[in-house]
Amino acid sequence: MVILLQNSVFALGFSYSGKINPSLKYQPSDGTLLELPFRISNINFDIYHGNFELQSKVALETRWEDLDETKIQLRELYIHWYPRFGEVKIGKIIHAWGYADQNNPTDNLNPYNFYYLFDTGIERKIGSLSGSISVNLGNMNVEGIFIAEHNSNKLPYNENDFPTELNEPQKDAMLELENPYEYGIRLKHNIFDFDYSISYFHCYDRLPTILGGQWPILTIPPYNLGYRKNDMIGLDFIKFFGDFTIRTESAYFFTTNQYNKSNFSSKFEQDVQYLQYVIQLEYNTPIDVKLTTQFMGNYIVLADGSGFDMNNMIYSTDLKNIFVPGVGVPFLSFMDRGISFGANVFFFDDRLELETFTLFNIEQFDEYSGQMIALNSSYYFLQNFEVELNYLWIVGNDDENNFLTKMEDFSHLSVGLKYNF
Amino acid sequence: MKIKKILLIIFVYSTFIFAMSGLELAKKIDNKKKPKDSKSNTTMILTNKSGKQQSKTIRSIQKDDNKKQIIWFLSPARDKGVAFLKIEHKNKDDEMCLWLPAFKKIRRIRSSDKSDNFMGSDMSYEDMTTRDLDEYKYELLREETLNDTDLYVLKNIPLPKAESAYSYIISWINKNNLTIVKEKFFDQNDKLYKIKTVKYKKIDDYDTPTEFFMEDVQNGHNTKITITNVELDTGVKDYLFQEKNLKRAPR
Repeated sequence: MVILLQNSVFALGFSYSGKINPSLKYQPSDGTLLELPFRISNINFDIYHGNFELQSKVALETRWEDLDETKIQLRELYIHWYPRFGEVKIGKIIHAWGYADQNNPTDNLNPYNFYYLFDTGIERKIGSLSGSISVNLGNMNVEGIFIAEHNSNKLPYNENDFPTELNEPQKDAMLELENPYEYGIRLKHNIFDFDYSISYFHCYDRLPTILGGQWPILTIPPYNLGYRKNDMIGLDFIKFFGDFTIRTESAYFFTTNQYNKSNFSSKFEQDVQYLQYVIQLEYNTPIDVKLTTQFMGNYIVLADGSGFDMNNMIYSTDLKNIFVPGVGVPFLSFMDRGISFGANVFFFDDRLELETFTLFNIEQFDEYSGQMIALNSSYYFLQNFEVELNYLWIVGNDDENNFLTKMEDFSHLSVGLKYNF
Repeated sequence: MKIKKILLIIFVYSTFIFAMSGLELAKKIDNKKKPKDSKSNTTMILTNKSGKQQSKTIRSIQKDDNKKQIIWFLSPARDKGVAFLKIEHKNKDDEMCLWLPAFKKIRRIRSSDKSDNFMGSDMSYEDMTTRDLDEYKYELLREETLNDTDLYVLKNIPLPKAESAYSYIISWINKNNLTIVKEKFFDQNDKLYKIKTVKYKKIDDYDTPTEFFMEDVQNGHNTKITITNVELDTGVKDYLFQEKNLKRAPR
């Protein structure tokens, strides 16, 4: 027994990787430092044995003005098994669905951490206690996911330097979810050089919504906040046309206020169906500049019921106009239509990377609704050492309720040093 | 005089009788005994015009004459965990995809991106792809002797279906063992673009390339590739070349 245990322990392998990444964000208008949390270090540590891996992702989060409050975040910790038929994962996991880049209507498996909303990839997401099984059947793959808990987006409440004017909701106003389980299935298939996937996901909103209260009194509180039930059907595909690549992703949501009437003195019945889509076109120019454009939108097909108009702070039966999606692409919670243009290029043997990205709010075709411009650069001055200089410029319009207008003061210049290991 | 004429006729005829065509030579090279599969570690040293160097290492496994290939990036640290899978098909586009751990996504890439440089090196994806016999036209240009080695000089002209970035490639082939020891690549304007030299070692009875040197003569950049820890014919199974295995860095 001891020999067996000894052999097992010695057969274990370890691997690690990560980065140390101190950075500073300045407001360009007056040069003041943005006092927001950031991850100063990320470490991935894996232990493996045969077809099993224990994978973990840990981050060290801090604030410059409050270094004593540095926290260790266990972002992921799960067992990953690679049997012959596919993959099995169980633990605290960040999942990823969808073929488009960055904006994925079908990827609602994990909540977003809004502090990192302008970062890329899984940096923006929060791990959930879940399990998944993926089975390969020829050129088809089927993945099933079960999430044992409901987690909402982490929002920057009461943060002066993240000017969304969000106030933390009172805990006693939040309604409990009866069955907070979430589950989904995704089928991926390749046929005639065409990759597509079909998905279904049952989940609850990631953003809280006022779903009832003491109406028709036109003041709040008292009110009730909750997370509506969503059933999503997703379809995405990739197709290559010569030098162009098209990646599209769409999700059709059925959203309902599923809470029992007994929770409210007056309940907002809501039955909404809406479509979110992203059409992405990529082109690699002959001079190795990668161009990407995305057209994304949110279209409400049906909206029966009533709700609370947060902009005018009144009860409204015009649900179609006041409805805010609780899942889907985060940017589409704040704008109905957007178009982005991006370019990416490397110089000096990939040491210098320059990237530009512009997102236009095109909600009103005939009226300027704002834009977001990002200019990013990183330079590897030594092997594993990188210096980053990024600029984010957010411009709104005269509408105070426009998300981009609210976020104007979040425009910033960031300077960072990164050591990869 | 008569004898001279007869000898000349015999010489001309014998050249026709014994000469090998470019296609025959290409077929001979293609038919050479090759390992069914191979595993190796590769170190790339990239040197730019001003002499600045950076190195990258990968672990790769190939099968079916490189038609199936999986590559894991081991260093530099920023690329660690990224992996690449390529499966070539005869009658449809090749499958190429990347595992991007920062996004937890497998990203399909266009096979027509094969003119792109691999990991910033001077090797393009096309340079790493096996040339299909029927996608090229071949001309045996001449025979040469270089450093006491007898060589064939073969011109490879890609047909449109090869979707090549080159207008033609000149290969120097060792007559003794039919290994390609040097190649010159010409761009679409017929200007010299790259020069590749290859060194081989006999491993398990196979002439195995262990060192490549690729120079981009147009921008003065070069890449030295050293291949180590070579294992041949280990019985690599087809199911290794699945997307899920991109996520599993080699141990």
